[in-house]
Amino acid sequence: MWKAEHLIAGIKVEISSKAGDASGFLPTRMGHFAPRSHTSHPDIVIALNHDEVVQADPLKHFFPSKFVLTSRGDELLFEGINGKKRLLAVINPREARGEMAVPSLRGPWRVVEEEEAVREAVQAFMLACLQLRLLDEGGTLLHAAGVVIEGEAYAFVGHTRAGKTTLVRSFHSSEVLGDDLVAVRELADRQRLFGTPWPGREGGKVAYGGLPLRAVFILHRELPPGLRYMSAAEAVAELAVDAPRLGHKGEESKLLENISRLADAVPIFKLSLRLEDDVAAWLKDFSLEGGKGP
Amino acid sequence: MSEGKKGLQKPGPGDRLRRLPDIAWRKVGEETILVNVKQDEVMQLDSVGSFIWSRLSGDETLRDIAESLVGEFAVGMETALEDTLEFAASLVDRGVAKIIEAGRS
Repeated sequence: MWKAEHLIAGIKVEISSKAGDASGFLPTRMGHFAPRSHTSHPDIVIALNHDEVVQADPLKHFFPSKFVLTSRGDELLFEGINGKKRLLAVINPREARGEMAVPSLRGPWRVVEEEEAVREAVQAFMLACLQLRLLDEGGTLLHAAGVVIEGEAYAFVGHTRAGKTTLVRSFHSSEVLGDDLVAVRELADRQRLFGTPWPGREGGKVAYGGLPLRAVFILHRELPPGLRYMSAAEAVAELAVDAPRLGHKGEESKLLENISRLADAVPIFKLSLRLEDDVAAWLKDFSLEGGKGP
Repeated sequence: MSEGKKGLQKPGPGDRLRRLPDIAWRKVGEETILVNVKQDEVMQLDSVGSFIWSRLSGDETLRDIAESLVGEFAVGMETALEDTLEFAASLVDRGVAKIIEAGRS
């Protein structure tokens, strides 16, 4: 059996496969997230099991989908929705274990789209399992760019095309956690920002992160340039929009709770930037002076 | 209860409303954030909306809630009832609450 361990946002993730080497189906930056030690038990296990029905037509099984979680007794079902629902995997939260049926990961693939559909589904499942565990630990994933200045972390939250990638280009690569998906989590009485194996196009040099989160900026390109402090309620509403949500009421409630704690502990601002703004220089001033708008 | 725009149910003063089960919500300060899990939609309610939302357990009529609003926010009954009915209609319209008992208005 193929097996690998990773440490993401302080969560020890074990991925095992009875369908062959799964490394080519995991995020490309996964190698940056090797655990520092192999002594402790994993916080979550993701098991990929070979299944002949899936093998018969992987593309039909893993058609491009929106993925959601639903409850069945004590289990959570990971389903693909595209016109109709299809059960893709099962999570047992009590045992912190997710199981997904997959074809042989060695191939052969009849068309390249088969392999890509399996890769997409495996990563979506991995992301759902990670988010579930993070929610239990008081954290969440966020669609955000993360940067580090003087040992403190800053998150720039925004949906696709909000300008996250452009923004991180003004930072030295050694200061960038990622420009797409970061994790935030309360650890040792501080809200901390972590990189993830999905760092986007520009990020991933500061692989682990875990640095104290000093401020969160929610990007609003449509507003006049400037910085505006947000009320906790406004911040929670906007952050909830930009977190990967699991389509499951219990998890959405935990998300609101965790984001509320984040908004209580860390200042959250609405930020609009001009293309010509040197964000790195401005953020360095912000970190020294405690915050003026660009 | 009466028919509103597009045939949607429009709640009346004697109706009772209940929050739908697929709504995750949390009070943040005086306001409330709702996540409509099925619609993948996030809503932010102000302090008046939060007050009304927190009482939509199906036990009180909208008139009862409007009377409580008078005491809590120092508004007249006519305004309170108008605001409550309008807000209740918007919640039903957006699929986050439903009328569970149609009363006489």
